[in-house]
Amino acid sequence: MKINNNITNFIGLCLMIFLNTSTTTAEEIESIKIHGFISQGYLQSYENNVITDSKSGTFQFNEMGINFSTDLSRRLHIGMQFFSRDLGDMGNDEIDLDWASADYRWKDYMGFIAGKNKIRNGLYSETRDVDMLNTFIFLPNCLYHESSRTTFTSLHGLGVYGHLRSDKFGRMNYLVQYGGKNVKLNNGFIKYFTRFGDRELTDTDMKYILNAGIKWNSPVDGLLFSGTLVSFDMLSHGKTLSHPLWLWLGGSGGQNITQNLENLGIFTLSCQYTWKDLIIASEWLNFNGYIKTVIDSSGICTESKIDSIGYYISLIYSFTDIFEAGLYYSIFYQDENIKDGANLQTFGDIMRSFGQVGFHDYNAWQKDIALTTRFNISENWTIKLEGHFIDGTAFLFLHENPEGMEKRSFLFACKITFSF
Amino acid sequence: MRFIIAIFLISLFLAGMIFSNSLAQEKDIIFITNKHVTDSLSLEDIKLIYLGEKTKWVNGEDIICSILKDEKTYYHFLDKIIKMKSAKYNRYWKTQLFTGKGNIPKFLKTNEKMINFIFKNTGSIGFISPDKLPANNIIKIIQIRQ
Repeated sequence: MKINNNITNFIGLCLMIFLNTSTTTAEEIESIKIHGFISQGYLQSYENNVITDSKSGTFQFNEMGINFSTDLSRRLHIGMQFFSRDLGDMGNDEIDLDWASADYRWKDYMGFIAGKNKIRNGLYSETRDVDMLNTFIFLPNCLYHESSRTTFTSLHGLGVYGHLRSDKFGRMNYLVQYGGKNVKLNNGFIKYFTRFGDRELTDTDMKYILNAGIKWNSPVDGLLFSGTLVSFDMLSHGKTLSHPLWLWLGGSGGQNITQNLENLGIFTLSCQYTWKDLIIASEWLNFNGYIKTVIDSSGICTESKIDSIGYYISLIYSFTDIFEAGLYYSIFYQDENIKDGANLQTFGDIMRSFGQVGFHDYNAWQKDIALTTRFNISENWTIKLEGHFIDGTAFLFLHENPEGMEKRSFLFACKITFSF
Repeated sequence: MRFIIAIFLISLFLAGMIFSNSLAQEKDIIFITNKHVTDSLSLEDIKLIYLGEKTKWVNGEDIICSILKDEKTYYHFLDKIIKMKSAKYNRYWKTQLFTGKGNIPKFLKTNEKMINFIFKNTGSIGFISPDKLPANNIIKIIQIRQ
């Protein structure tokens, strides 16, 4: 069932205001609080273009956000955040409404949200847009790859959340929300599904999106567990490009296609332990579903199962209020059942026989060791320096590496952020 | 080049370990509320209030949370109650703010401003240095439940 975003948001907002029994006039509204941030970074990679044109060094790496919020009453909080980013050809500094929601906190154990709300996907999805909230410049890409950022940061819809507490079992908070989303064609998730260079999409529609999450602060001090689910369908239209895949199937370039991503689910399990100034975190992700592509004119159809898996472990240590450092090791496999990439090697050999740049087995995975340092110069300024040693090319794009991809690459990133 | 950068980052990491220090504040702290508040609180309750997870008193009234940001009492509050460094606590509340989950608590710079704020706002909670307790009973001291 497709959700009409505007009707959903309107109904939700009306419910919030109706339930808010106190009378509020314009004069009584607490002053609107304004906060924001600006980040500028630099990327330099070796061997491959890891992100955009990083081998040449690039400053096309920035984010800006401004946030307005106020309490209409003690229970009703409203706010919105405008956001723009540039990461190569993703974002291009287009100003977007990052989130805009009304939050009615009826009780500690139950509150309601309506509007464009943040999606909970793993421990850090809700904060990934805001550089100063994280230690790392790039969160572990097995869960938080930049290509999926704009698709899975927010949804339009309604939700319910709450905090529960037990002296024996600790604290738990939960969130369930349902809605839809407009997906732009220049976002990284679309690029991921066109990364083989075999198709171009011209429109896309996320029919529904369901998000649920539970976070459990166990009775053991500092130990928390979390589980999240994001489930959605996506329907797209586009054209085939001149590619051996279509020739092999009896088609050709320039034909209209319908691409259906069905029953897609992103399921994560997370664990985090905080002991004094040390944080150890580990997360596991499974991304599964089906991708079905039909050439409209001939009915030629390809269908494949998506069954990707990723996991990481990270350590973060705050030495002082000014300095903290972090380390993680992240692993991602495009297909849990073919981790060695034998199928991609075969497909790549076929592409090379047609004179095209083909894949290799190492396109099947991406392993990343990252080391970062963060300096909190003041309450408003942070500087980060980060290095990534990358093995595999699962998240690298062929169109950004037209001459082929090396198995190993290194990425250096630095970023400065001002927030207020 | 990549190895030089790696060595640089590792060196920074090691330098931080050598020069790290920890917060160690031994001053006492007194939690106070508006006189209309009748609840007793445990240390865990106080922690949850200052993390924004507990927002209602037992009678359903909203909790208005305020923080004394002076040199000594604030760091004792962070070390003994919240168990976070200042930068991390700031980041915690910025996370709530920038993800639309709520507003940062009221920060006050002096004990006198804190006492005045608590006196004037029904449902409010804050903390002060014990040597700044007012002689008159305009505010209420929380008896911490074990």
